[in-house]
Amino acid sequence: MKKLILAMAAALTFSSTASADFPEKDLTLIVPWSAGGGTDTIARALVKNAEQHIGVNVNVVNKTGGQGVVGMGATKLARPDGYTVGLITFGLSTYKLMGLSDMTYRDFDLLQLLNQSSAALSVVEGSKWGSLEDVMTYAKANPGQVTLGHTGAGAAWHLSAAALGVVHGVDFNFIPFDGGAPTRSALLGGHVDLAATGIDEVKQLSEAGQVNVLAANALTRHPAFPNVPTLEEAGYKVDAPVLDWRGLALPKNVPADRVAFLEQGFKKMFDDPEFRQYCEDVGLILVYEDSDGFEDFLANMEKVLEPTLDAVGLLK
Amino acid sequence: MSFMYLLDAFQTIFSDVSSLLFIVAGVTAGIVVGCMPGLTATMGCALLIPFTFSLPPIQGLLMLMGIFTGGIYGGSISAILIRTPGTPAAAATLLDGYPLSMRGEAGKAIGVGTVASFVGGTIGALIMAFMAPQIAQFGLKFGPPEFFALAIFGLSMIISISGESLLKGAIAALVGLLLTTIGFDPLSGVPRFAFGNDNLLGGITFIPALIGLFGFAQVFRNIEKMEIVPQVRSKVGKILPSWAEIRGLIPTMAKSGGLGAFTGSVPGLGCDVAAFVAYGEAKRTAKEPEKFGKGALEGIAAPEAANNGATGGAMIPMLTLGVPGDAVTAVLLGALTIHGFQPGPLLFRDHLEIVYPIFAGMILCQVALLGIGLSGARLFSKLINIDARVLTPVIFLLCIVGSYSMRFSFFDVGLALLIGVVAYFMGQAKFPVSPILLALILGPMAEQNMRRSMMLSQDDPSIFVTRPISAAFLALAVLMTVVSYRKFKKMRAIEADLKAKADSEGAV
Amino acid sequence: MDSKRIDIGVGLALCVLSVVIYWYADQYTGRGVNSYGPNFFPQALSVLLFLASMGLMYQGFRQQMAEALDVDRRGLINAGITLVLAVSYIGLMRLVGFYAASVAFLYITMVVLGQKNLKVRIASSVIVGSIVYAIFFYLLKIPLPEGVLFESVY
Repeated sequence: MKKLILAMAAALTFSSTASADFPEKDLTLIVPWSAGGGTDTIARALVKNAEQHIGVNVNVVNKTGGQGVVGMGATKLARPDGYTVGLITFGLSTYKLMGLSDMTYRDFDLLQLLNQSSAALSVVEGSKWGSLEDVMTYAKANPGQVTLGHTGAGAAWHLSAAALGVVHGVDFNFIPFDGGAPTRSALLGGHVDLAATGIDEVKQLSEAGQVNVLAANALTRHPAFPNVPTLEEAGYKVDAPVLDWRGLALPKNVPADRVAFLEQGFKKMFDDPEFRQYCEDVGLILVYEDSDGFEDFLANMEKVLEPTLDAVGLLK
Repeated sequence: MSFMYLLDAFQTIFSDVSSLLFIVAGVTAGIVVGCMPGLTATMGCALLIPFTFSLPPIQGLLMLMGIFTGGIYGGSISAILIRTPGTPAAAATLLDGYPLSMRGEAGKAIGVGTVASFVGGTIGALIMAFMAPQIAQFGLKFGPPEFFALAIFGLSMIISISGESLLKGAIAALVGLLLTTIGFDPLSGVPRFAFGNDNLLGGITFIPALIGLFGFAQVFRNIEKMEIVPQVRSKVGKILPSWAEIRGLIPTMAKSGGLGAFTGSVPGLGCDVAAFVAYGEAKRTAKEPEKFGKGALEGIAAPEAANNGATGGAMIPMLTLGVPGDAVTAVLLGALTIHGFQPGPLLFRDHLEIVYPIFAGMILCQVALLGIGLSGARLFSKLINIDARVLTPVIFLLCIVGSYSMRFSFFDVGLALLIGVVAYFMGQAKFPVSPILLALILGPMAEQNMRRSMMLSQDDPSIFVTRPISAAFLALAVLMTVVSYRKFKKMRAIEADLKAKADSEGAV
Repeated sequence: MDSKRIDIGVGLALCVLSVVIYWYADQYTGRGVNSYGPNFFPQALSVLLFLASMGLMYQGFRQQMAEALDVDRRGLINAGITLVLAVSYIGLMRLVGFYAASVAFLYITMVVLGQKNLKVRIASSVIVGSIVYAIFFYLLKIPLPEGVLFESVY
């Protein structure tokens, strides 16, 4: 029965490829994280002017759960007619390595990379430490005494901080929180000494003078944080930084002409000045890679992640 | 000073009639979305964000706040009428709202709920307008040990909602807590009890559980009893509660509203917890606690005032710190960001032109709610007069669609149906289901913060009692348990007495 | 069935369940986490559940007056039928789409529940189906299943 339905679905899909008018109706963008969160807001900002660029609207649909597995799984299994596009995020690089799911980027047709974010280590304003060196020296002398809050086991920020500890032989007391917001409030309330979050997540707090960003785990300085050194500049180099990323992907087997249309269409939305302005305001660094570049980036990311996950005991 | 800003903001809103229209439209839409099982205020706001793109920021926000207010209130209507809370925040309202509705007094129940929502919501909005920065600073004092203590305090309300048997209530709560351990554990990165299923990796989500526990279970109960129990009809004539009844409830409403605003302002606690805490507190201090659960008006006023008070409270950390108080404010935060206002400490410095209209709008939303709710109560209360053989299938359908549309998942529908069947049999075996719900809300908070605290203290449990706020809440939890337990015993004694009397009279 | 047997039976089942959970949760030990790992909470809860269900069994055995359960047998069968209908409705939705399946579901459920009036059955199922469809699909833009049979519509 199921096979029959699938066969019928496939037949119908083929028949519709013949018609050149794509898209005829609104597209759906599946976001694997909840409404109002960082990823969701970016998705909504991206498709805000969709109608100007591709002629139809894009409806954002939040399919949450299981660290993004549910939503990305839905994209993977969506009907390959080009009407469903999925937002994919950093978790996809870790699922298989952490034993959460067998899904990897290889299960998708990649469209493009949207952004890369680097981790930032911050202390609350008025902390006894003014630089990364102060922290590292203290932590080395007092192993396990410095509490470091992060956004959840296996998240990019956790792994970034863990890599720093492993490479330089410093033993932090890691305190996992559930997401960026609780991590920030724990830092502000003085419940943890240090916090590892995305650098954009502490932009406003740093501008308001409530937190002091010590260093960023990136190759170059962030334009909105010209005074924050990279780890290497601060004297604590880690080999390749773990970067958080977001991108767009399609289920496999979408007809090639539709893929080409979507590639161009989303690139136009990506280049929309309003979207660019929005990302600059929230401190997000946009990085474009086409499908090939995106694939190289993800392949490389897996190589970086494997030893890091192993070091924190999360490798399955 | 802030008072002048507020007056200014009122003027801004009143100078443009369309702003008022957006408030009314938002509240109405919120009520509709809220009273549909499965469609929560969170979803309503998320779905309408794209629509607000085309509006000026203030109008867009007014509309979203209207949906927030209306949605939290609207959940109580379905809770009262069909024992299915439209939103989690209304789960405590059904305990007394539904029995009242079964006596044909649905209009009165909705009326009390409306007035309570208005009073509570206004208190919450005023607290937000005048005390936001101070409350936000206090909220920051809550670290992992405090959140754990707070969760334990919340769980101590189980006694108040356990019905006849405390032991069965405790078992239900334990099962609920165990259910929350299903899925990915963010502290260790380990998936638990997921059996390789991606859907289970996300854990038992809240909305399907809510619809199963109350919606489906009630539908099954209705169908089973359809042939033997005559249909209830709403009383005609005087539907709304009298002023004398309302006046007697004002202390309860005021206290619950304040309690709700405070609860809501702690990041992580939302309108749902506020409602349960207020219900437990109202029952603990009530003169006639034995009436609770059987249609006590205080039992409706307390949770309704608290959950709407919590809307204002939840806005506080979102606006001042950029940390959302609950799921709905997370969506509002996103909306503000998209409109170019990044909530956080800088918002109060740089964008007072948006902050004060938000405060003023929140107060106006409550006024709109009062008007719309009271004029609608008559209409709503007639809904249960519809032939049960038509109404029940419709409720059934709405529950199915509601559990599906949370995240467009058939898995969720199946899960809700399964929970519904279990909850139906639990009802037959006299197990209360509300403790499961409370456990689902508070379980992750209790577990994660307990473990987080032990990580902070490096396995030293004294961290819970050496920090003043945490110690205070744990002490409150003990006090609450002891007092409620005594009341519970006393109530059982009174009931047994009455029963014995009735039996002996029957024998004569 | 009476309340005494139910309490004992449920207590026993929960006792067994809690033992199974305790045993199963033992595998959840994360590295790099302190002594209160992912296994701690489930295991602590299952111990409590075990004690509570023992208590329930004890109460059950001590119960003097067993109250009979008031279940209407025919009603229960009807409830069972509607449950089956709901499950088939979900299946049907994938095949013929949301709208048709919903109207059919409403109609058949009304028949099962004994709604005698044919006009009421048809009118209410079509009207309610349309309203729900309009609200969810057009107003809220929730992607409802279109059904594979009508897929060529796009």
